[in-house]
Amino acid sequence: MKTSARKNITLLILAFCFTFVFLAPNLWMFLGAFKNQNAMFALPPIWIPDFTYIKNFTIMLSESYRYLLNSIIVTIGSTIISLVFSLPTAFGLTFFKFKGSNFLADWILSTRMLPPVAAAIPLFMLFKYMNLLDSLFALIIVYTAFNIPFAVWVSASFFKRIPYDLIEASRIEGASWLQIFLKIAIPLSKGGIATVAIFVFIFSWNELLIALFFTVSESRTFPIFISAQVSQAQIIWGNVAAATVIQSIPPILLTIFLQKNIVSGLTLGAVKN
Amino acid sequence: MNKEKIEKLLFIVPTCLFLLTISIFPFLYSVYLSLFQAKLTKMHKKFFIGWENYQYILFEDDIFPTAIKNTFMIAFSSITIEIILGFIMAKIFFEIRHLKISNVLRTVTIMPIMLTPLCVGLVFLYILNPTLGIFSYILETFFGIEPFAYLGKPIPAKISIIAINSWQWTPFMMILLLAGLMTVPNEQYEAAKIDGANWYHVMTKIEIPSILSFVLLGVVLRLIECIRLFDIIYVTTRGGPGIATEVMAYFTYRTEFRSFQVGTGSASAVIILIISLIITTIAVMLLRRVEKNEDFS
Amino acid sequence: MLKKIILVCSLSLLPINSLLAVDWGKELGDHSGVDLKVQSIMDPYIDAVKEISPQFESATGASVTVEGFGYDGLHEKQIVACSQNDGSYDVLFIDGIWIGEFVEADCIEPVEDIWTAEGTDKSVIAWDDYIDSFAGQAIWDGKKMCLPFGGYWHMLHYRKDLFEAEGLAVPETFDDVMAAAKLFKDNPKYPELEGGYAMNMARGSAAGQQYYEWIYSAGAQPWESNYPGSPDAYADQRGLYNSPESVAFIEWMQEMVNYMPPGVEQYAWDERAKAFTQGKVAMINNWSVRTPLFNDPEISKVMGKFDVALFPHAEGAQSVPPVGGWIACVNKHSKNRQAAWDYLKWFASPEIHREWVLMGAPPSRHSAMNDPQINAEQPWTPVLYESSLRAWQELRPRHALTFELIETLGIEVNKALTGESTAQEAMDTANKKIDRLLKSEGYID
Repeated sequence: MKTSARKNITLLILAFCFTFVFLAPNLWMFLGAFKNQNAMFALPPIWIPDFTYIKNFTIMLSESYRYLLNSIIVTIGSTIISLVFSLPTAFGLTFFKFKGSNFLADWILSTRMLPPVAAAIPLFMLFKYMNLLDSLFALIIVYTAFNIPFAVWVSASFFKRIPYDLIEASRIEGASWLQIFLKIAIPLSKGGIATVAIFVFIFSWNELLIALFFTVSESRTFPIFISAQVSQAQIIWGNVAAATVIQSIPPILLTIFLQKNIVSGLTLGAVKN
Repeated sequence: MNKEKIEKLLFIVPTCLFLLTISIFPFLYSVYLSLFQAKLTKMHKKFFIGWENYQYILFEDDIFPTAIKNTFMIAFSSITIEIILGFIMAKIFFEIRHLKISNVLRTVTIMPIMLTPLCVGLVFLYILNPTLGIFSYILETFFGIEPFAYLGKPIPAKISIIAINSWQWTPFMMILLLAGLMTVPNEQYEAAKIDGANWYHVMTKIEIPSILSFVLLGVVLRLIECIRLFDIIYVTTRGGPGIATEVMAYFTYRTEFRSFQVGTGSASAVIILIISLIITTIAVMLLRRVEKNEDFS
Repeated sequence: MLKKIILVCSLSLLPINSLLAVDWGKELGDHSGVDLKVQSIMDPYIDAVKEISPQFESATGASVTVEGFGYDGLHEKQIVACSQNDGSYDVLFIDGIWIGEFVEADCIEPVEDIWTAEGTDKSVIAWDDYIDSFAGQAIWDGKKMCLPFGGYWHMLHYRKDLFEAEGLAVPETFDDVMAAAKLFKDNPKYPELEGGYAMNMARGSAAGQQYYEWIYSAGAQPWESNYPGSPDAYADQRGLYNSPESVAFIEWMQEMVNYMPPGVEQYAWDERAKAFTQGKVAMINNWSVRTPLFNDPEISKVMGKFDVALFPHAEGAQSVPPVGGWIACVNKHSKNRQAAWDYLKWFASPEIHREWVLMGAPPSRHSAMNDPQINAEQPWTPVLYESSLRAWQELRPRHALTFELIETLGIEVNKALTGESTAQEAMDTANKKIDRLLKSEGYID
């Protein structure tokens, strides 16, 4: 009994140490958001900042609230549209028994392989040609396209867990595929859908390079604002710190509330939790 | 063509069309461009040179081959650290999983995975300033080590990038291995206890074999991501010092967007694509195997 | 030189008003309903641009949006957009050294063409009032392409309190600089100092630009036909990067590393400036645009403790202060070219320029540099002015290959400074690679 308690305490302390290592860097930047630049680089370091100093936030938000709004719109928009496209496709790949379904699935996943760095210029040309530049809509479309492979793959792995007899029974009763999809597959895979939604959301929220090229003034997103703080004359650290805090809020919230889904998502659905 | 067939097509075809336009077109265009000497500022003057771009960046110039080497070196180092550290942490969290607080700790630990890579880079740029950063302060005050150029000298720069990369992704490996540990049936632990096995035996004979497929999965998934490593390098070392931390994606970026040599840049992108495809094919096979294992466990 | 002195004297004698009063109502058109977009760098002066633009809005009915980007982001976005004939931004602020590339990509409508066709009043444009060394960067192929509104020059910034304490004279030569740096490095009297000097050493444009900043003052030149006062800097571009003088200069920098803060190898512009403002080094050379920030109490610990001086030079050579900055261009593909031009000629006119400078922006005109109020509020202006008169406009290459060239050079210079190569090896490699690059585009035969 005693050794077990001692072991637990040692392990707990170790766990705390590890957790601290993964928390500290961000924590340090978050604390910096409450300091002016002099204080951010003061030595010895100012461990506890004056939390009433919110000038960084007010300045940063007044400059960037439009971009924040754009990010929110684009992220939610691409999440919804990604689901609208991917879920039916994943359903079809899983339950329509046809030759080449595996091949199609692999092909879909492979479209994710081109580094976004290389896709930026061709896509810009395409969208310019279609006159779709500088609209949040264009950004939503591109993000959706980048998200679909992952979304299809993970959704399919969740759909696979639905017992086929259930599907078969409904088919015999004369239900259409659409009815089966809406009435059976989706309700049974709520967890999987949440997982897909989280990762599509995070990808769109974090994306920078494509947004830089596809947006003019109206549709600039928040990561662009952050990267604009770094120039050759200076890095506006106050804005960087405050913006990092804001940028990290959705990821942090999602991690806290939807932890379980993150595990399955990270492994492309192969691992249930 | 009955109604059912149309219905089925509607489930799948729109997505494929979408992907064809948005994902395939850039790929095809990149392959096409890679065969030309082309500069974005004068595209009408581009001319066909066949394989010359590939020949130049792979065999004549020393930068891209170094970039490939660097990418894999960083990938393997990071992944090794992540596996070892991840396993240790997974074991610890596994042993204390009955304690409520371990959930909280675990949640906090996985946050780095979800953060914007750009922000991660900026955070470490802030921390690793040699004279003004907090890392130097800690080194000097607690360990008596003089600060040096963590991001400015070749070996420290490589180590820094590996460290930042591992920092962001070790929690991923930990979660994966933790899930793996949880699949080990309790009976095996009971049997081991009865046989009087010590922790070393338990670890090597029971735990590691069971989680091997998870480790493999983790390695492959991480490898795919490491090949596209970009944001951290972009913010901190910019490929330097010299070309110590130049990685493939960064090479493509600066060739296409700084020098605007889109022909050469596309060639490097195609090479990255081919490498990714090979690794993904392996990944897919492994993923399917892990799934099957899961179904039978 | 004489011409300059006469011009300067005559300008400073005339009361500003009579020379520069413009009837903007007549000069500017009615642009109601036009949504003018300005694409700018996120340098400190952008706030002043946003502050002054409403005056244009009320004069013309247009609405002006100013968007700031980081350096790389701005360059990438502008060229990619231009390559697709995109006119989303009407006014483009570009770095003076990008001009060759932008002309090659056909992004700009030359302001000279516009004002000739329009018959604009010369006093509104006042080209001769621009400082030569920077105005020259807005000219390409003999034509004035853009308006040189935001010029920067390097000045030596030093801690006058520390220099006075040690009884040191203001450094003028490379030897002075090294001696002072040596004195302050690891000096027990000043424990908070980490080094005597700080420079841009990071690989790529940081180290590459640094080379160009110093090389002329070192008494050397980067390529055959480029020297201060050369009639055609691009006539013969064969590289001299590995000339004995050039290598000697790199070796001088290598020795200077010993007197700089630990970790200086990763310094780029922000780290260099911060080392100074946080009181860690005694001297830096820096772009003048950042000098006002050194007096900002939220950012700087050295307010009131520093002074500026002319860029140092090697023994027997002249000081050739580096010049850089931003020029304003009309986007050829813009749908509001008339409004864009009206904005530019208004914004860069002597009267408005002066107002803008008083909001904390960099002066680029003789009239602004000599203005009494500006001198009072920005006390470094006399040194800045002298620096601007001695600068050489072709400091860095301005042709279409400038980015690749500076990056290539910067990789090798960085290798020499971190000790990975010797100075000779690094510069030999740099010269070879640069020559190959220039040959591939026919710049050299």
